[in-house]
Amino acid sequence: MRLLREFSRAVLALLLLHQAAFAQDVVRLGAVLPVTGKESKIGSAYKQATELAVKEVNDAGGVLVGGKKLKIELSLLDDTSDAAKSAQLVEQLITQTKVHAIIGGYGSQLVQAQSVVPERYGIPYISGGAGATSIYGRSKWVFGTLSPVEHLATTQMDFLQDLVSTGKLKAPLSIALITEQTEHGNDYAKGVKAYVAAHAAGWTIPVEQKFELYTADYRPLLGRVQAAKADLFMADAHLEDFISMQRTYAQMGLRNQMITYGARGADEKGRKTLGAAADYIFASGWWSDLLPYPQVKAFNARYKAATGVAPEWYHALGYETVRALLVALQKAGSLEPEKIRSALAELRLTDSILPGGVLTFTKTGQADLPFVVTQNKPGGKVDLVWPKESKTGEPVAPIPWQ
Amino acid sequence: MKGARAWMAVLAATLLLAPLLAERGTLNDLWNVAFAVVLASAWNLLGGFAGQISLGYSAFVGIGAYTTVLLADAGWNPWLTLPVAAALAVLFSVVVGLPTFRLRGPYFSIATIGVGEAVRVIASGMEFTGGSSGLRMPSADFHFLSNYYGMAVLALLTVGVMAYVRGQAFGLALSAIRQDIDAAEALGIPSTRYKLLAHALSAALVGTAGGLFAMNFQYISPGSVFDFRLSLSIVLMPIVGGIGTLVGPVLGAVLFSYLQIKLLASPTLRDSYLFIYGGLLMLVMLFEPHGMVGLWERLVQLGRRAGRPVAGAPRGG
Repeated sequence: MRLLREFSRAVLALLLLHQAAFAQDVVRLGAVLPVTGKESKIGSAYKQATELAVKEVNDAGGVLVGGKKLKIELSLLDDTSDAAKSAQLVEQLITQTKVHAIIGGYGSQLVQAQSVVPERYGIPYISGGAGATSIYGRSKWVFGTLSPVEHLATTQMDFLQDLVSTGKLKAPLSIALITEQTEHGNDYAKGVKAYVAAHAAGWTIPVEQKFELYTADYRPLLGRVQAAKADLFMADAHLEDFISMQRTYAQMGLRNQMITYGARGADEKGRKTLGAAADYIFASGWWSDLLPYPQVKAFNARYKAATGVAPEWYHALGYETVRALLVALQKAGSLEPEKIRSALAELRLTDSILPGGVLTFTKTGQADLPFVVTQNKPGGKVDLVWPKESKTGEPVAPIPWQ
Repeated sequence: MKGARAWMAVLAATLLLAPLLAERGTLNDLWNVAFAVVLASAWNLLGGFAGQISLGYSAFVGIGAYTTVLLADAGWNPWLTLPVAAALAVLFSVVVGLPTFRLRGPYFSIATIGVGEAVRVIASGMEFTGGSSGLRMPSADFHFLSNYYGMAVLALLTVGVMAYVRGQAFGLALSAIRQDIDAAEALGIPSTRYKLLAHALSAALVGTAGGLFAMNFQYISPGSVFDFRLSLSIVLMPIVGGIGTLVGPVLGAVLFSYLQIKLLASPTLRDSYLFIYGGLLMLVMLFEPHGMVGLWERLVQLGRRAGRPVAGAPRGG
């Protein structure tokens, strides 16, 4: 009997402790990222940026919510790049960790899987790692800081059109369009094709090919590109596929007037791995460390000092996503999910480090900001070449093949 | 067998009564357990009872899941898609089984890896499957409890079917095939037909589970439902729990699915879950080939020798 009484007391104490843990004055944020597995290279960068953004706020005393500074408790989980686990972990963070908001993952497939969950529980969700438009607009709880991939493609076409206007490239130009078999790739192809359809006199697409993610051998696909003799090579690929495809491109001796892999090309990892084979590739991005804003310069210095790493676009997007959520929390003045969601929907972050300097969300919940275009130059240099008013160097076109 | 019944009664009571007592987070965990029980127990029919180690079972999960999403997108009631999902999985199991069951031992296992990967590559390249991006269910109302009970009932049905098959001539024939296929055929057991039947029955159950998976997650992609890692997990669960037994796959499924999500959710252990599984598998292979069931039986024997019998052991399990 005495034993039973002791046991009951222990259980009661544990229950009270458990309640107390959830009653503390903290903001509980959950994040699910691909820290291991296929998407781990960029997933780990998002993890680093997310943790840094939270640490900076905690070091400054916390986030101001309703006149009170609250510390942030971040539960960051690894989904191992598995879509089903990703959704399960988001669900676990909501139902068991009782988070106030979720920071989404990286990669359209993983974010697609996660983005189903917030609607079920009515919890705000913001991702900095998925640009596919089909993710957004289905749930009022889902937000994303990556602008639509379709607009990335349009920016590249505007840039190429400008090269034609300035006489660097000669119209008409034919495009070999190579995209991954994903919504990301489909959106990119849609953007290029829509532009070509609207400017039919100057552009043609003699070859369009799709490829599966993480394809082992790109020779058959690039053989078809070689046979098509297109002027421009425009592909949309993940980092691993970009490296692998461009290596094969160089080995096969392909020579196009211009080469792009969509958002890939300026990544340090790609440039280091490919060496001279990455020279003159141009890339559109959601961010560049070369943006001439004072807040970008300050961010670059802060990030490098804190992590020892020069930030790339995924670090910046990871960081800014957390910042957007925390500013919304502050504006909401409450931890109530609906108030946080409303604040996110109405957010206007005027000192944003992202292109354009002002972060807002459209009605679908996705940001729609301008893109930048960079071009790799020999010796490991990267220049910002678009928009013109921000450029740090002249675009080189066509590629001066040796 | 008595012990096995007691364990199964515990499983049934836990799965069916949990919604009355537990909160949503726990029910999500139990849904995962039930899903894993279906996969592990159904695989055990072919892999454990008949000794045919297939490494391509994710294909059935994927076929079931895609059937449900595609038909639901075409306006079907998701629940009515489940029999179609099961039927297509059965059809595929026969198409795959006819050529591959001519192979024996590791050659059969290697062939099933090829089949699983081929299906994933095809699904990733087709327009109607959504390519690598996958597909979403139509955004209709989501009813977790009915989905939960659907998976719980399927898990209990799977275990029930396995228990029934085990005691029938069909189960004994599968056991004979596992022990010595040539001797079984000499005794008049049509081994290919029985293997095809076992394959089809387990494919029907796994295909149905795939359909319920799609209904629960509302989004599927080749990377999640045709993943080779899923096929490996399906094999590992019965091996860790006790291959060829009734209770083993259930124990393996509980351990694998529940611990995996808990380890991944634990900041201190999230990086070591593969190490823990790998270590566990090595221990099982080296010291206790009959898995957790074998370990339990050893403990029972030790208890008996010490004069203190352990109650509820899954004997004959």
